Amino acid sequence: MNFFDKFFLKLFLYASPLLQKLEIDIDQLKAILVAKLTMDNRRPAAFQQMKQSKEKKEINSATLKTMFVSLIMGLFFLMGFAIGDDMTTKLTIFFSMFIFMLAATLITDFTSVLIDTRDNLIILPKPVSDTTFVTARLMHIAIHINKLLLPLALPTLVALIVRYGPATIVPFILMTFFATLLSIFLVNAVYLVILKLVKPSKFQTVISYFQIVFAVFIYGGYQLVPRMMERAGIEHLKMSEIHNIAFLPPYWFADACNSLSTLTFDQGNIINLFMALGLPLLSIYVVVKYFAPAFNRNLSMISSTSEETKVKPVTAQGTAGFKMNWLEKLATKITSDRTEYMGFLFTWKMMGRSRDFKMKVYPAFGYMVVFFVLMIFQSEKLSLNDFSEMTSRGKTLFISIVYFSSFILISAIGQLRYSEKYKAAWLFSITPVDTPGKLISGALKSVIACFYIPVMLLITFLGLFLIGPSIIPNLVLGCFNVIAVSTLMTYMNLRQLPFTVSMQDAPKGQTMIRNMIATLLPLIAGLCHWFIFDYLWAVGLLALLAIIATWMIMDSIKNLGWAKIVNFEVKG
Amino acid sequence: MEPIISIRNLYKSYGSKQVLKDISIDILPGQVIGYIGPNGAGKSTTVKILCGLISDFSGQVTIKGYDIRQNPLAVKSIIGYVPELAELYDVLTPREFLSLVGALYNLPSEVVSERGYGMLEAFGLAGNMDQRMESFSKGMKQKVLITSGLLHNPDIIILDEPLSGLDANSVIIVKELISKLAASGKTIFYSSHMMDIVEKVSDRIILINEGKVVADGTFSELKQKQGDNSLEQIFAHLTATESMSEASDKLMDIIANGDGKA
Repeated sequence: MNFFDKFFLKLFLYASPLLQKLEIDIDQLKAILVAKLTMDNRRPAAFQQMKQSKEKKEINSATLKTMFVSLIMGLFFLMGFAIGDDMTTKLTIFFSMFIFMLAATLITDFTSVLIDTRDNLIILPKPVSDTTFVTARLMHIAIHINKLLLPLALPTLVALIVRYGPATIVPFILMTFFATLLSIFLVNAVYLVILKLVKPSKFQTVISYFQIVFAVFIYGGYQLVPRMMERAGIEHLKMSEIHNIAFLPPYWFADACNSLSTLTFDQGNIINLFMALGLPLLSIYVVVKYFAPAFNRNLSMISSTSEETKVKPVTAQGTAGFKMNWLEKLATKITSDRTEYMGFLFTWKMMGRSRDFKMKVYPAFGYMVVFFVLMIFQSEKLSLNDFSEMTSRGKTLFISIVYFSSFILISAIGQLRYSEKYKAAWLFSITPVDTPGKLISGALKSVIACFYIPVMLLITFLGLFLIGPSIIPNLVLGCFNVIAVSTLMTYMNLRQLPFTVSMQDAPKGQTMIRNMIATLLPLIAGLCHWFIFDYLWAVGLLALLAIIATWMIMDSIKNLGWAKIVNFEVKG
Repeated sequence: MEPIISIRNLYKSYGSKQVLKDISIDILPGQVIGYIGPNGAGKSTTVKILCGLISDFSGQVTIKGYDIRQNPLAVKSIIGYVPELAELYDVLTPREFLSLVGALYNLPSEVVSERGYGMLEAFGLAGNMDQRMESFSKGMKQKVLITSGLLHNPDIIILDEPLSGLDANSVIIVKELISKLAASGKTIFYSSHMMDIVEKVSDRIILINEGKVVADGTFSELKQKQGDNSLEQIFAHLTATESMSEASDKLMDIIANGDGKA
C-alpha cells in the first residue's frame, strides 16, 4: 500500500456510518480492500504484462509505476491543446482520448486486476454478505479507476487553469467524473457483448486479443494522428462547426465544461449540459440494474469453467490409430527426418495454442499493418503507375514492404524459446535425441511456414497484380533474403530448444543489441537489393545465392549437437 | 442425535449435464466422512454446495439447523473450508493472508495473529510469516491454507484433497490432527482420491459415482457387504466399468506385442 491507496481507503471509509446502515461489515470491507490494494501493488502493471517479465525479484510499487505511465499519457493528451482556438474544441479532443484510454485500460485490467477468480474460493466461503463483497469490489474498482484517472486528467487541468483561469476547475472535475461513468458503461457493454458472443471459457483469450488490438491501436494512433493533423491543417478547427458533432459524447462534456466555466447558457449549451449529465447517470443506472447481475452470473461461469476443464466425451472407436492431417503431410514434405518432423509439428501446435506466444508475436502483425498504412499515407502522390512502371518510389516501397515483413518472422523466432511450461523440457533430455539441432531446424521451418509463407503469398499476389510477372526475380530474391537472414539469426542466437526457457530468464541487456542487429540485417540486405534492383542478372544470381545460403545455414542448424545447446546438460 | 449436516434430495445440473442426482445424506456431529468417487462423480460440486458457493441446486441442505440458502452467512461462519490445489493470493505473505481471512471471519486481530502464528509455527513455517507466498512450495501453501481454514475454530471442517503436496511428516501431522479434531466433536467432511488415507481417517465412507451415492457406511460395513479387502478394491468394484486387471493385461499386451488384439 502506498500513499494513494491509504488516502483513498481513508476517504472511502469516511462513509462508514452510511455503509453500516446498508448492513455492510466495515472490518471485512477494510480487510478485503487492504488485501486487494496490497496485491495490486505487487502485480506487474498493465503495461508490463505485454513485455516479458524479466525480473524474478518481487514486484513492488507497481501502482506508482502505472500511475507514472498514466501521467505520461495524460501529458500526451495535451496535444489536444494545439488544436482549435476555443475551449470546447480542445476539450472535445481531450475527452475523446480520455474516454478511449480509460475504457481500453479498464477492459484489459478488469480480468487481470479487478476480477480475480480466486475470490470464489477464498472470499466467498467465508461469512461475507453479498452486499459487503460487492461493495468491496466496487470500491476496489473505484480506487483503481481513480489511480488511472488522476494522472490522466491532471495535465489537462493544469493547462486549463493556465489558459482559462481557475473558474474551469470545478466544471472540469465534474465533467471528468461523468465521462468516467460513461467509460465504465462502455467497458461493461463490451464485456457483455464478448460474453454473449463467446463461451465463458474462451473469455480470457478474447480479452488477450483485445489487448493486442489495443496495443496496435495505441501504436497506430501515436504514429498516424500527428501526421494526419499536419496534413489536415486543423490548427484552427472549430468543433462546433462540424456537422453532427452534437451526437458525440466527448463534445457534450467539453461544451458543458465550457458553458459551466464561462456561465454562458444558450439553447445548445443547455442541451449538451443535459446530455453530459443525463446520459452517464442513465448508463450507470443500466449498469447497476441490468448489467451487473448478468455480469456476475457470467463471471462465475468464467471461473467455474476455467477451474474444471471438462473432459470431452470419448468418441466411440474413432480414436483408434492416428490419421495424417494436412499439417502432417506438409511436415513430411519439408522436413527430412523424424526428429525434425516432430520439431516442426510440436512448434506449430505450441505456437497456435499458447496464449503467451500469441500475445508476444501477434502484435507484430498489427504493427506491420500500421506501417503499411503509414507508408501509403506518406507517399501522397503515389499512383498505381509507380508500381507498374517501377519508378524509384515504387521500388523503395516494394523493397520496404518485402524487407519489413521480416519483422514478423524475427519476432516469432525471438519468442520461440520461451514458454510458461518450460519445465516440460525434461522430455527432450530423457529421450534419445541424437542431434537437437534437428528440433531447432524443424521449429524454424514451422515458424517460416506459419508466419512467413502467408505474408509471402500475399506480397507475391500483390506484386503480380500491381506490377506483373516482371517482378518475379526480385520477389524471389527479396523473400529468400528475408528467409536467409532469419535463418542466419536463428543459427547465431537460438541455442535453446523451442519452448524450454522460462519467460523470467529472458536476458535483460542483450535484447537491445540483439534487436538492433535484428532490424539492421534485413535493412542492409534491403539496401543492397535496392541498388541492384534493375540488373536482372545480378538479381537472379543473388537469389540463387540466397537460396543456397538458406539451405546451407539450415543444414548447420540441423547439425547442432548437444554441446551447442546452452540450457541443457551435455549428454554423453 | 440431531444431524449437523443434512442433505435431502439434492440435484444439481450444469446446463444439460446432471451432476448430482438425488443425493441424501445425514451427518452426525463428530463424524469423519470420507467422501470419495471417481473424477467427475460430483465430489467438488457437493463440496461447493456445502460451502455455500453454489446456490442454484434443488433439494434441501441444512447445516446445524440453518438452511444453507436462507442463512448462508450463519452457515459459512461455522464451516472451515480448505480448497484443493493451494488456491490463495500468493503475492501476499502468510501474515497478510491470515489477517484477511481472520477479518472475514470477524475475529479480533490479536486472536488472528496469536492463533495464526502458533499454527504456522507448529507447521514449521514460523520463519516464513513475512515472505510472499509466490516462492512457497505446494506443501507450504497447503499448510497456510489449512491454517486459514481452522483459524476460526469451526464446527465443521470441509477438506478438499488437503494432503496434496504435503511431505510425509506433514501428512502424519494432518492425519493425527483430523482424528483429534473429530475426537473433540468437530465434524469433518473429507473429499479425496487417496483411498488409503480415507480408509484410515474416516469413520464413515460415502462413495458417489455419476452423481449418486453408491455406498455409505463404515469401512468394515463396506468390506462385509462387498466382500473386498481394501477400500481401493471396493472403489474399483463399485465404480469401474471394466475390470482393472483386464485393463492392465491389455496394456501389458500392447507394450510387449505392439497391439492390443493379441
